[in-house]
Amino acid sequence: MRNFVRKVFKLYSNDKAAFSAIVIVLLFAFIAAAAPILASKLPWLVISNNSGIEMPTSPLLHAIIHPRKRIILERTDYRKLASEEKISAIFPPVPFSPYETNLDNFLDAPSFSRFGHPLGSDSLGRDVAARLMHGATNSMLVGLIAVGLAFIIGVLIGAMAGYFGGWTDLALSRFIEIVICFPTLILIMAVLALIKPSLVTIMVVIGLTGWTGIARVMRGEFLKRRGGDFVLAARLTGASHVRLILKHILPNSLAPLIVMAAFDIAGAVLLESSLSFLGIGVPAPEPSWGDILKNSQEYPDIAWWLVVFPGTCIFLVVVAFNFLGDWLRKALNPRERAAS
Amino acid sequence: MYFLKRSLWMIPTLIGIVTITFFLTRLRPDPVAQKGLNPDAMQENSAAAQHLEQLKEYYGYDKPLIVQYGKMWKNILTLDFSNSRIDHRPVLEKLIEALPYTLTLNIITVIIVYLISIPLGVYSALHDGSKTDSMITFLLYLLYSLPSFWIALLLLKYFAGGDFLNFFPLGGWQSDYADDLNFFQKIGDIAWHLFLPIVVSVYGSFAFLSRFIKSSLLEALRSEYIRTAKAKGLSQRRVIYVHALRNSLIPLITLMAGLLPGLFGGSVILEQIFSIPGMGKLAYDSIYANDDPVIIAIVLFSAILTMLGILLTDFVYTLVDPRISFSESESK
Repeated sequence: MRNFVRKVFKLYSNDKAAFSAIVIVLLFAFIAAAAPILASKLPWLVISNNSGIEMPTSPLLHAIIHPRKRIILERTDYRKLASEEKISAIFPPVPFSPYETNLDNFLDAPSFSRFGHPLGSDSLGRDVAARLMHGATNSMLVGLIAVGLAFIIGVLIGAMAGYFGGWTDLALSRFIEIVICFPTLILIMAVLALIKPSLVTIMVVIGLTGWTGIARVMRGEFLKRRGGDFVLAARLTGASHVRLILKHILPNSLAPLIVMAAFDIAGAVLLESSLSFLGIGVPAPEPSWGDILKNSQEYPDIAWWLVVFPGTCIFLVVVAFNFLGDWLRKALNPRERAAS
Repeated sequence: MYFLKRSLWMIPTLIGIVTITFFLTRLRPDPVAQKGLNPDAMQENSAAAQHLEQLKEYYGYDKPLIVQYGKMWKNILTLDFSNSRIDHRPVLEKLIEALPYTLTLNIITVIIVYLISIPLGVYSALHDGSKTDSMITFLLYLLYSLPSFWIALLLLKYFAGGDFLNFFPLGGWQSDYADDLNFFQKIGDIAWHLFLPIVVSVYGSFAFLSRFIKSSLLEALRSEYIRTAKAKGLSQRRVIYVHALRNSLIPLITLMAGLLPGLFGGSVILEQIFSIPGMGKLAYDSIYANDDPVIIAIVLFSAILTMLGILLTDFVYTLVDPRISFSESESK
């Protein structure tokens, strides 16, 4: 086992594309997880306060611990106080909140001055960097949960079809075929047109429409393995169907699943941003990469930063997960590993 | 016999498609209940009660579920999909109007994708493991990961409309003055309009297809009949291009089946960005206008067309490769 890990690691460190992919995935995962701390109008730490306004030492921490007080805390304009030198404070790298609108800053170009918008602002004066970072949270959440849901459904249906065979297989295969006939984007759009879109409905809809590929692969794997000697041996010891499926066959079929997971997350992130771009994704004030691109469509000539930055984010995440999937396929497949 | 059997299997699939679509129509909450109208209070006012009945009938909530389901079947079998709620034109008419645009765009896309991917795949297979091969794979993966709507926006910004270079129109199917052009000018005009949409819709598919051809050709090259052909003393060129390539292209037919849903559904995003009046744009517009009959008809229509397309590819596949029997295609 240790030998195997070492071999995989060696292959991995030789593959520059895979290495960069992992770095990008981890970077975006970190940004997604830490967005509320990295992009907020509330300062991390107030060092000295001569403004006469009462404030906690760490307004951001205070807001996180007491979510109800956030609105009151956010009424104070810390950036103004700081630039008038009434307080001295340490701000997050992006000192803006994603929902903060300010029509004075209509389509500000990127600027690196203190309290300028580092990646520009959109047509409502919202900071693009803050919205990108909080959008990362939404994209990653949708990707992970939608794919997780698709996996649960796909593995369940595929495993049952492949394991039991016969009429079960016939019925389930027919069901898979029926779902495949529906064009995914049209089906998702129709569902979102008829119910109210929210972050949760988008995750559920992407998950409910995205399981067919997994189910087909799982069915093939189970068909291949259910007659194997190790399954027969386990059955002779009196193992139940559930135990055979979950403990004996599934772990042996994990490799193609892991590879598919990486590709599917890329697909789900892309799908979520497409839906937001079309205006039926996460509802309005919620930040999303696709939503910023949609906003850019209204001002194509003046605001290049609205096109370039969110697009780059989507591209980086999608390409990273795709390369990760490609590398996993090579690393988990002994035949290809021997060849390379 | 196989064809008949395979065709009969469509019946349960069709029933399934219609049933799923039916439950889709039930997703919108009952508008009467949703508006908070109190039916009991309205009973006293006959005009209001009548209006309520009409409203329920309009949205299809006046009869029990099973009756509505039967009604949907009747509508499908008589090809009557009622009228659009926006312009009150028959839904079927709107669909048939939109379909040729989507089909033209997608058929050209598929042809170009195949024309470019097959040589790339063959090259990669013959130079397996070389620097150029891994370079091609890498580049195609990058292309595959570029979000098409982003590229569409960038292309429009820099190559259309005059901000940077004014090579292409901003969108649409043909120019306003298209009626005055002769046949060839018209074709040229449409090609000029479709250039950017087609560029955007092709580049993402190269990776998948060329990789598929590569592995399929590599497998063919390892098989016995190739060894026989080589042993006979045939030239390398003949062995590869006549014997191996021809057999490795057969699986491409099944790949067509995978492309079909997109073909009929239309690429919603591209049609929206380039304002091409196809199925995708129609779907998008109907969703914004809450035009339920059109939405449902598009879902149903594209699913049924896809089902027929998959059936057709199955038939072609059996004609090309007689080894495939019904039982085999079942255990695929």
